[in-house]
Amino acid sequence: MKVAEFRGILEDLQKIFSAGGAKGPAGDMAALADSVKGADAQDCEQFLQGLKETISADPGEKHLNALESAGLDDTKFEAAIRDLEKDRSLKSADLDKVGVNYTKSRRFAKLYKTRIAKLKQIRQAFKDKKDFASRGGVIDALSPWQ
Amino acid sequence: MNVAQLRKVLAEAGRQKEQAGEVAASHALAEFEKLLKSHDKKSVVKVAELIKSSVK
Repeated sequence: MKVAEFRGILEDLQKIFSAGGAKGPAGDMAALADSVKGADAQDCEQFLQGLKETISADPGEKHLNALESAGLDDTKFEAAIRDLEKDRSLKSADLDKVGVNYTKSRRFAKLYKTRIAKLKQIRQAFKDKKDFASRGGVIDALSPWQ
Repeated sequence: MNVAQLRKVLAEAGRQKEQAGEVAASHALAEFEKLLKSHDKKSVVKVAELIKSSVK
């Protein structure tokens, strides 16, 4: 699917709002459709992926998305974690957010104080996820602490 | 309209596309809806400007 087709959907929504007399939302949809016009020829999936990274309000979000979309793939995870390691613009609090969401540990920020420790723990969480998947999750599923 | 309201519109449109069997369109709408989540309080026009500047 090309972005042009996606833009067509947004324009259809604009027409629906217009037909219903909702001028404000119709104008919003028109502005939204117009905003993607320059990317008409691009593949929609790639365009949205790129857009996710460029308009992300949360600086850690693109890293979290990359880590999560890597799933259990070593190569993709390695690329994502290296990108995270290299990103020196990321503040400690942002790295904590990534860590909390990726490791699912609410105490992440308290447990891991240094940047190195935080990154190491994110790597460990990936290893744990792989381990869990390979064991079929049986032991963890039986654990009362999960 | 703010982005939170827009996301509801996109989610509904996505559901309808899915019901119509338009999988690619449904998937694109879902992805678009998801990536806008962190901008919920902003106006759609502001976000449209942000998208436009990143497209150029």
